[in-house]
Amino acid sequence: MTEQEKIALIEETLDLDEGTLTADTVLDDVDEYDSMAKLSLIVMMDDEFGVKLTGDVIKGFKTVGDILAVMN
Amino acid sequence: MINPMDLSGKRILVTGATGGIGSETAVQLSRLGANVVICGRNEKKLQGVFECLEGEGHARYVFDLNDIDSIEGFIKQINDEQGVFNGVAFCAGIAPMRPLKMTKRKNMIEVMDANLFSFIEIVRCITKKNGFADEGSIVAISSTASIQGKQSKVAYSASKAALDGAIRCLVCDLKKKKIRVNSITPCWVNTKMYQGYIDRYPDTFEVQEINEKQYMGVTEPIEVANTAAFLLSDAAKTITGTTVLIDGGMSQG
Repeated sequence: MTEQEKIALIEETLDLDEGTLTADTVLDDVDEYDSMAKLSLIVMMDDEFGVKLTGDVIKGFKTVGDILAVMN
Repeated sequence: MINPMDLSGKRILVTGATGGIGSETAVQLSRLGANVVICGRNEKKLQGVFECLEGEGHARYVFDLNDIDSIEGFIKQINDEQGVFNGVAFCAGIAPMRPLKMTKRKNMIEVMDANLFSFIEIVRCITKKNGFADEGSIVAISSTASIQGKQSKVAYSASKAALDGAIRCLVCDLKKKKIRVNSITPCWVNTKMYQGYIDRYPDTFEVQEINEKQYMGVTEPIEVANTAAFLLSDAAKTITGTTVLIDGGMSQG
């Protein structure tokens, strides 16, 4: 999966329009990044990448790039 | 001294016996004199619970209830090896959170298998001729999710509501043998599942809700275990087809 495809997947998970995010986007600046969005992210990461995100890891996400870094 | 919840001479199957509620229930039933047959998926954990059982005459079986088609053979095996049962405490279950847009049929089936279909299959098989004593008792662990709407809990809530619906019909189907069927409806219980939930979803409104609304505090597993013991005992001889709510005041808050 390319970085662009991963960003598209994050956008879809967070219910954002395509092209809204870049790797540098600061998550605190994204209105839609609320508790439900974080839950959606947890489920998506588990389903698509087999990655189990903990609360601490989620809290550590500052930018979209931080999320991309665990999408392996 | 009297003990209305005395379970001496009763053989009781406890499923999900390695979980927080299941393990507490199994141990408490043994303390009350029951012969406890525990089953769970993890052999090591199951052995740990088995070693905590008090008294004699207990047994353990490693079995995955999600393998629904194998339940019939499993019940036949425990009936053959252990004898007739007087009770079942169905404590197995999963409680995933999953937003609606990500809840596909396969996710629903996974939850239904664990929380509902395995229960009905166990009851179907164990209540066959010579498998279950007349006037025996069956208890299933439900949840307040069965009556309360929550975000991201479609599959879980549906499974628990269906479970409560099922017990009322099971009572009718098992009327002839006077087998009682009830459920327990806890809200937040202090188990590893709960702790994992708090760790994993610290920011969700539900976690905040625990402190605000469940004002009598998070329920300890022993309280659920004692309620199960009561429903399994002769102290509850004519209580059937109902559910006992243990929600620390949540639904009244």
